[in-house]
Amino acid sequence: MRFYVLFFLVAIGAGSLRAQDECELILTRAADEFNAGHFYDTPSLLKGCLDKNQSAEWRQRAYLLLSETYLLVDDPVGAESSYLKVLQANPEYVPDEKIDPIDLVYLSSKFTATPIFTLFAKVGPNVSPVHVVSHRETTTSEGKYKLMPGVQLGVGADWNYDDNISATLEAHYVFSGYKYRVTGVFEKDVIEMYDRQSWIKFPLSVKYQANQGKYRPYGYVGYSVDLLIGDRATITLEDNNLDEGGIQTKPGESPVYKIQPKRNTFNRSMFVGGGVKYKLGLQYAFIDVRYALGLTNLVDVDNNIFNYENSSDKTSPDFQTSGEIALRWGLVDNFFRMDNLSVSVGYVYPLYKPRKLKKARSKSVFRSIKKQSNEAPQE
Amino acid sequence: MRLLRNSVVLFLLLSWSSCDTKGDFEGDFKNYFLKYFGEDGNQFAVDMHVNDDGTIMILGRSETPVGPKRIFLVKTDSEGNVLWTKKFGGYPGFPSDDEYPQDLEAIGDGNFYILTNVLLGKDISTNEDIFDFKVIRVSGDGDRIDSLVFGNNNSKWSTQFAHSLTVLSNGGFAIAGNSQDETLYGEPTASLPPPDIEDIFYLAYTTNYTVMWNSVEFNDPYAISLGEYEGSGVRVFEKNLNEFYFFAYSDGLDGTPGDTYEPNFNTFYGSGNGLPLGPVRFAGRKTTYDVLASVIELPGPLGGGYLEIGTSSSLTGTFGELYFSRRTNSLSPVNEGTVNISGDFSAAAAAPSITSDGFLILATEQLPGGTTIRLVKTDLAVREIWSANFGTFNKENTGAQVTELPDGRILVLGTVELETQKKIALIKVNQNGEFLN
Repeated sequence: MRFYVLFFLVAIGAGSLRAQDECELILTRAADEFNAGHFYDTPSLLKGCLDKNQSAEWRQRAYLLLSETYLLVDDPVGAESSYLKVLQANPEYVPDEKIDPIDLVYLSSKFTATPIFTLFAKVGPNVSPVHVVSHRETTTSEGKYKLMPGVQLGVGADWNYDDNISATLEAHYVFSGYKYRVTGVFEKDVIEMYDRQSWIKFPLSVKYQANQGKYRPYGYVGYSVDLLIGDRATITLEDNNLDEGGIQTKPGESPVYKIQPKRNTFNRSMFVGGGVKYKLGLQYAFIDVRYALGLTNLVDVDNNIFNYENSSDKTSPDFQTSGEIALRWGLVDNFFRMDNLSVSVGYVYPLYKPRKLKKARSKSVFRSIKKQSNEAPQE
Repeated sequence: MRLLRNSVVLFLLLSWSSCDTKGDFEGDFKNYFLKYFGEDGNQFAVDMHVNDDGTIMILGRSETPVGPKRIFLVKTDSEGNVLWTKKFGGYPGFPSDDEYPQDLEAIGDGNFYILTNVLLGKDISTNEDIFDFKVIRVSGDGDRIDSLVFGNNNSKWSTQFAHSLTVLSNGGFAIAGNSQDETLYGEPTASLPPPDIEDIFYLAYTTNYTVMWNSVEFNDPYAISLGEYEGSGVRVFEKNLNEFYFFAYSDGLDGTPGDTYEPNFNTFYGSGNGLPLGPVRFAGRKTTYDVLASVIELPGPLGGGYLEIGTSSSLTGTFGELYFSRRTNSLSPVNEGTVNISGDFSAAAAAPSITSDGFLILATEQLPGGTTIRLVKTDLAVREIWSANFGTFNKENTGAQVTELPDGRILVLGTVELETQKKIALIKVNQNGEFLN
C-alpha cells in the first residue's frame, strides 16, 4: 500500500515538473516569435500554459512578454491587463528605464502594487522609568525607583498613504514593572515594593519610511490609549533595630496584593520611535526602538489608600483590607507617570494590491527619460 | 505634506498640554495624609496639640530594644512633615526607669506641660507597680525648661498614676489621677465590700510648682471619698480659681435602689482649695462597668457644657459599648446613653465638631484578630452619623486623640501596628473621615 502511495506522489511530481519544463520551452519559443516580429502568435502560444498553475517568476516573464506584445499590436486594454498580471506575480516589479522599452516604462507608470495595508507583529523587552508627579511619603525617608524588565507583544497595521508615509494602528500587550525602594524609614528600615503591571495599549502613529533598499529605516511619532488591566504588588521589609548585639533585622514579605483598584485604568501616552526594516523577499523583518512618555498619573487619586469606590461601609473587613499597604506596610504611593522604553523585533507582511492608478505618474517617467537623453553622448 | 506635518505638530502639542503635572494635585497629601513617626522598636501615640500656626505637637512613648521607655516628642508642620523630634526621660536616682507620658498641654505662653508617670519598680509586699509622676515644661522648640517631680507626695503615698493635666488660668496646672495606695482614703462602708484597689486624687500647682491644693490632704484624715474601690480622677476643669469641676469614674454608690459597687461616671465641683462641694452626680448603667476615658468642654456654638465619653462593659477592664454623658455648664445632666454603634470598644477621646454641629469620638475597636482605630462622627445627640476604621484588622491599633481643624478636616492620632512594629500615626482626613480632598 505504502509503495502505491509513494509511486502516486512521485508520478504527480514528475508530471508537474514535466509540465513546467514544457511551459518554459513554450515561453522561450514565444519570446523567439516576439523577437522575430510574429506578435500575433505570442498570446495563443502562451495561452495553454497561462491556464495552468505556473510559478510566479514564469508568470512575470510571460505576462511581461504579453504586455509588450499588446503594446506593439496597439491593444492597450490587453497590455494593461497583462501588466496587472505582472504585478500580481511580482508586486515589486519595476521596469528598468535603461533597458526596457519606453512604452513599457510608460505603461508601468499607470500602475502600482504598493500595499494599502501592511500587517506586522513584534515582540521584545522593555523597561519603565517612573516620574513622580506628587510625593506622598508617610515617613521621613528617601525613596528611589528602580527599573525592572518587562516584555511586550504587539500586532499592528500600517495604512499607507503613499510609498513613504503611513498611519499605524497597533494593539499591544505589555507587561511592565518597577521597584520602589524606601530607605531611612524610622531611621534604619528599608521597604521595597515590586509593582508588576499588565497593559493593553492601542498606539496610533504617523510613520515615515524609506521605500528602497535592502535596509529601510523609518521613524514615527504617535499617541496611545493605554488600559491598565492588571496590577500586582509585593512588599518586602527590613525592620532594622540596634540592640546590644548590633543591628538586628526583622524581615517581612507581604502577600501579592492586587492593586489595580488603586490605579487608573485609562491612561494616555505619547511616543516616538524608529527602526530598520530588512527586506526578506516580499516581506520584512525589523527591529524597533520606542520611547513612550506617560502623560497621566497612574494612581487613582480617590482610592489609593482605601478603596472608597467599592465600599460604602468604612468599617468593613474588606474596606480595611483595601488599606493594608498603607496601614500594615507603611507605604502610600506617590502620584506618578510611567514612561516605557521598548525594543522589539518583528515581521512585516505587506498586503500588496496591484491596481491601476487614477492618475498616471507619467511626469516622473518623462523626467527620467529627459535626464537619460541629456546624459547620452552627443554625436 | 505640510498639512500633515502641521497636523502632527499640533497633535503633539495638544497631547503634551494634557500631561498630568504637580499643579494638578496641589491639595493632595496636604488636605489629607497618613504619617508615621518613630525610631527603632515600638512607639506609642499619647496626645497631640495643634498650634495656632497649624504646626502639630505630638506626644508619644518610645520603647527601643535598648534602654528604658522614654518620652517621644515630635513637632510637625501642618502637612505632617517632621520638624524635629526630642526624647526625654530619667528620674532622679532612677535614670533607667521607664517613662509613661500621659498628657501634653499648651500653657498659652508658647510653652507646654508634659505629664508623665515613671515606673520606679514593684512593691514586693503587694506586687503592685510603683509610679511617681513628673511634669516637664518644654518650649515650643521642645527644649526642656524645668520640671516637677511629685515624689510620691513627699513619700507619704506609696504610688500614684496621673491621668491628665489641666492648665490653669494662673499658668499653673491641675492633675487628676488615681493611686493603688489604698491608704489615701478609707475603705467604703459596705456589708461585703470588694477590696479597695484604687483611690482618686486631684492636685493643683502654681506655675512655679508650688502646691495650690491637694484634694486628699486638705481633708485629713480622709477627704470626701467617692466611696470607690476602684476609680480614677480623669480631668479637672477650672471655672475660676475659686471653683473647679472634677470628672472621674468610680464605683461609689449613688444611693438609688439596686445600686452596686461598679464604676460609673462621677462629676462634682470643688472649692478654690480643692475641697469637694455639693453632690456627686452620676452617669452610667447600674449593671455595667462604666469607665470614663475623656471629658471635653464644649464650645458655645455647640451649646456649651461638657461631654464625657467612656466605655461601658459587663466586665471590668474589657471592651464594651461607648457610653456618653452630656452636661450643662453647671454640670446638670442633658442626656446620657450608649453610642448607637455595634461592636466592642474602648473609648479614647472626643472632640467637638463645630463645623457640622456634632462630636468626634475616637475609640479602639476590638476585632477577632486584633484592634483597630474607630473614628465616629455623631450629631449633638451623640447618634452616629458615620464611622471609619483605621488599621489592619488583625493587628493591634489603638486610638489616642482626635481634633477638628478649623476647615472641618479631622486629625486623628493613634498607634498603628505595622507588619513588625508599632508606630505613632498621624491621620488627616476630610469631614467624612476619608483620605480624600
